[in-house]
Amino acid sequence: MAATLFFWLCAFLAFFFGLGVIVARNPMHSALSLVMTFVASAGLFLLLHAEFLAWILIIVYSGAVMVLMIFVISLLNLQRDEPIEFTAARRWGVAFVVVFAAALLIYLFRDASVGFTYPPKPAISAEWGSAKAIATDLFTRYLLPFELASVLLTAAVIGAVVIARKPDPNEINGMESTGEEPSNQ
Amino acid sequence: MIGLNHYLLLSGVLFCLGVLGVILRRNVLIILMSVELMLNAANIAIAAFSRYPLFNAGTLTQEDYMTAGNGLVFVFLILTVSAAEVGVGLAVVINLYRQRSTVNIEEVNLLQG
Repeated sequence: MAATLFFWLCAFLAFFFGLGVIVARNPMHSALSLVMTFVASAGLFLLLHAEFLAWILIIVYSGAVMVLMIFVISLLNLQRDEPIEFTAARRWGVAFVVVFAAALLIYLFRDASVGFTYPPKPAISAEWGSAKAIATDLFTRYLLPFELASVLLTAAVIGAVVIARKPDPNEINGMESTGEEPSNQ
Repeated sequence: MIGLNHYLLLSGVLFCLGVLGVILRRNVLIILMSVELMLNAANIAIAAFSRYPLFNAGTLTQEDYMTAGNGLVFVFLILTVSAAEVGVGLAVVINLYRQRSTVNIEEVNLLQG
């Protein structure tokens, strides 16, 4: 069963690199682990026949978003983080998450109505998950959310530029200007 | 045979990893990445539910499924929103580092006084 093997390969890659994101002391290693997690998730999307989203995940996420993140990490010149210290509140948080994960595991394994062999994979048309199918939905049924998403992106671009821009010393008092990386405006 | 549950299980585990990252780490960049991990887990769950609809759970039939809207559109929209979130979040981090020279959120307590 090539599909089963491929699922477990992607699942373990996603899990271990996801673990790498939260245990790596160097933020750059975390970012690279996150890239690999997205690549593994793209493999899972391929297995779900969501080909368009798989490539979008690789191009937009591993390609653009994570490059931005890595760019910021190298811009900030960070040193290694201190090791995680387990305070009482954090122990409770971890215990809660572990209990939640265990409950999820038990539920998914034991409840027959969502058992591991159910439901059968339904027959789908060949172009389900293709760019054509998603675009058809996006531009007909979900036109308003699509347009709102583009408004959101525009707002985010403008907001990011305004927030990250170097503060004008005449404009705001009490903000020190460190004189690094002049922004191109 | 891989079913819906396998994807849900993986999605839940990845989500828990993201929550642990937010709880345990103090570096704001790694917290941002953990949030991305959680969004990715949600995307996997949505794509899996879109591929394996629960016919027995409601009155949904195979014909409904063939003519229903595509759940993958929601994954697409979540990707858009999280890209916007990363852009604004990184801008905030840059501004924070410029003013406080740190990305440790323990040291950012201006509002608490």
